[in-house]
Amino acid sequence: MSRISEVKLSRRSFVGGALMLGAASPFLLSACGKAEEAGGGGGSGGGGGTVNWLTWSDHYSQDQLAKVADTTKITGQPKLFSDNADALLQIKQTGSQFDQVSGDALWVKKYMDEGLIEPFDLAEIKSSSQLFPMATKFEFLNDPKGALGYPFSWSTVQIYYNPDKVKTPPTSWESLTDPMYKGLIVAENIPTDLMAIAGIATGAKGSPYAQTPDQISSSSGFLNALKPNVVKLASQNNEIVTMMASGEAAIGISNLGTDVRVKDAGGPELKSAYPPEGTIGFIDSEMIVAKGANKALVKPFLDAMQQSEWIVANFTTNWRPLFNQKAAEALTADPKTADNAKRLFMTDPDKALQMTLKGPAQDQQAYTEAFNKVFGA
Amino acid sequence: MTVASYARDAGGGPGETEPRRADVKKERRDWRQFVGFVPAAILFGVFFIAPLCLIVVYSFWITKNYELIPDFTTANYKTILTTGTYVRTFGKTVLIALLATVAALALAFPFCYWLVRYVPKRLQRVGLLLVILPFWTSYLLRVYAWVAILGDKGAINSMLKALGLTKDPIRLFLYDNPGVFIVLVYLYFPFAALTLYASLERFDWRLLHAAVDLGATPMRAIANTLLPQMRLALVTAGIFVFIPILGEYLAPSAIGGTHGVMMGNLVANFFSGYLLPLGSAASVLIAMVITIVLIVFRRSLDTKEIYV
Repeated sequence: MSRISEVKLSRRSFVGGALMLGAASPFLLSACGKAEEAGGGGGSGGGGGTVNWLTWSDHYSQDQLAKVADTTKITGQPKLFSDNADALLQIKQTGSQFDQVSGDALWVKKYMDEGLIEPFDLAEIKSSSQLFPMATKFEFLNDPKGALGYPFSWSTVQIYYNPDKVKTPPTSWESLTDPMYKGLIVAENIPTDLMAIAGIATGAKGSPYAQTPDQISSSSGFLNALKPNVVKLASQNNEIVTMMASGEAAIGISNLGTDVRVKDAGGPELKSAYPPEGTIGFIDSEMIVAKGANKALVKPFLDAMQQSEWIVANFTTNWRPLFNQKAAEALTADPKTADNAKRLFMTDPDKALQMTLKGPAQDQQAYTEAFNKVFGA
Repeated sequence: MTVASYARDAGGGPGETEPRRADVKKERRDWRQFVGFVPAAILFGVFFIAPLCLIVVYSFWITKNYELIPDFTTANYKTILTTGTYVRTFGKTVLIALLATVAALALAFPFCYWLVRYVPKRLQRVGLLLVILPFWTSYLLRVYAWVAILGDKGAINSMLKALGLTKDPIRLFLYDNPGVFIVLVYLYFPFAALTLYASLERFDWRLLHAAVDLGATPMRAIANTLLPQMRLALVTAGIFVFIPILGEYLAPSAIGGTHGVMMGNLVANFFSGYLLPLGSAASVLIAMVITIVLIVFRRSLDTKEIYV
C-alpha cells in the first residue's frame, strides 16, 4: 500500500480533480438539502417531511415543533420576519422554498391578489372546529374559492409604560412626543405600521394605510418629534419585552399582554394606556404558499399545531388573544389563567372587529421613504 | 503570469535579460495555465458578479404597487444623493468606517509589534489564538454580548452597582454612535491583527538595529525602515476592515438604537419595504465607495514596489 506522501499529483490530474469537484458540489449540496428535508419521514409523499414556514417568533415554541414532529413526522422549519411587506417580498422571490406563511389581516388579500397563496377548505383541518365561529367568517380571510388563511391571533397596539420610571403617564400618541420621554420608548421596526400610527396621531382622515401626500407629511412631522424619545426600533416584539424587562426602555408601543410577558421575564409591573386617537391592530393567520414544494403537508401540520393545548401554551407565553374557543374555555376554567384570559380578551374575540386592521400601504414607497428620512442619521 | 516572468518584471532572476519573443508567444498561447481559475471564476461569477449586475439593473428600475417595473431612470440615485437624511447617513457611515479602521489598525499595530518582538515564538501562537478566539462564536452572539456588557443590567452597570459607585444604571454608549464604534473596532480588530502579524513576523529586525546604529532615533527608525515595508500589510488590513464596515447592518441595529443608524440599516428598510430599486441604488453607491478606495490604494497593493 502506498503512503499518501508518495502519491504524485500531476498538474493535469489536480486541475481535473478540482474541476470535477467544483462541478459536483452543487449536486452534492442539493442532495444534502433533499436528504435533510426527507429526514422528517420520507418527503411529502410519505406523510412526513418539512414545512418551511415564514412567520413571527410568537407563532410557535421549539417544544411544540419537536412534539409535533414526533407525532406527525412533519418538521416545522420557521424563518422569522418582522414586516409583512418583507414577508410578501420573500414569498414572491423565493417561489417554492416556503410552504406556509403568516400574515396580518388585510395583507392576506394582497397575497391572494398576487397569486402567492392557495385557498383551502378550512373544514379539512380538523382543529378548525375548535375556533370561535366568528373567526371563520372574516371577510378578508375568505374567498369564493375557499379560506385564504387559518385565523390564529389578534391584538391591538397600545402604549405600555413602567410607572417607576415614568412619573407622568403618557395618555395618547401625541403625548409620546413630549421631551420628558427622551430615550425611553421602544417600538417595532415596521415602517408601514409606525406611519399608520403617526397618521392616526395626526388625525388623518380615512384609512391610516392610505394617507395622502399631505397626510404623509404630517405623519413625518409626528415621527420627527417622536424620534428623540425612541431609544430603539426592535426587530421582533420579543425585543420590546426584553428591553422593558431590563429597564432599557420604559415605554413600549406593543401588543396586548406585554405587561404579563415583561413580568414573566422578571421585569417591573407595567401599566397600559389606550390612545384616545384610536390605534391599529392585527388579526393574523396562516396561509398556504401556492408554489410551496411541501404545501401538501401544511394542512396536517396546521392541524397538529393548532390544537387547543398548544394554543393554551401559546397564550400563557405571549398573552395576546387567540381565536381558539376550546383553548379560551380551558383558560377561563383554570383559576390561574382565568383573570388574564378575560382581561386580555381571549374570551371576547368580537373586540377584534373594532380595530383599524393592519394592511399594505396604498403607496408603500412614500411610506417607507418618509419613515427612512426620519429614522436615518 | 509565471514565477519566471514575475522575477523578470521585478528586475530579478540570476542572469536574466530581456524575455525572448518565443517565450512570450508561448506564454500567451498557454491558456491551460488559467484552467485552475475556472472553479473560482464560476463561483465568483455566479455568486458575486451576477447578483451585483442584478443590483445595478434594479437600481434603474421602479416599484409600483409592490411590483418591480423595468425602466431606466436615475431617480433612485437622485433621491439618495439629494435627500439630506440619506446623504448624512451615507457620510456618517463612511466616517465611522474610517474611524473604526484607523482605531483597529492603531490597536493592532502595537499589539503585533509587541507580540513579534518581545514574546517567545511558542507563546506568540497563544497570543494569536486569543485574537481569533472570538471567531469561534457566532457573529450574532459577539454583537449581542455587547448589549449584555453595556446594558442597564449588563456587566459594567452590575459591577458599578455592586461597588456602590452608582445607584441607578448608567447608559455607557449603548444605543448611540460611540457604542457602534466600540463594537465595530472589537469585531474587526482580529482582521487587522492577523494581517499585520503576518507581515511583522517576516520583517528583518536587523534593518531596525542598523538604522539605530547609524544614528536614527527609534521612532525614526520605525518610520523609515519598518513602516515602508509594512505598507502593503497596513493597506490590506485597512481594506479588510473598512470594506465590511461600510455594509454593516447588525452592529448598528443592535447597539446603535435610533441614533446609531448606518447605511446598511436604511438599505435593509428599503428592501423590507419592497423598495428594491432605492435599496439597490444605495448599495451601488456603497460599492462605488469601495471601488474608489481600491483604486486609490491600488498602487499600495503592488507588491513589487515595496522593496524598491
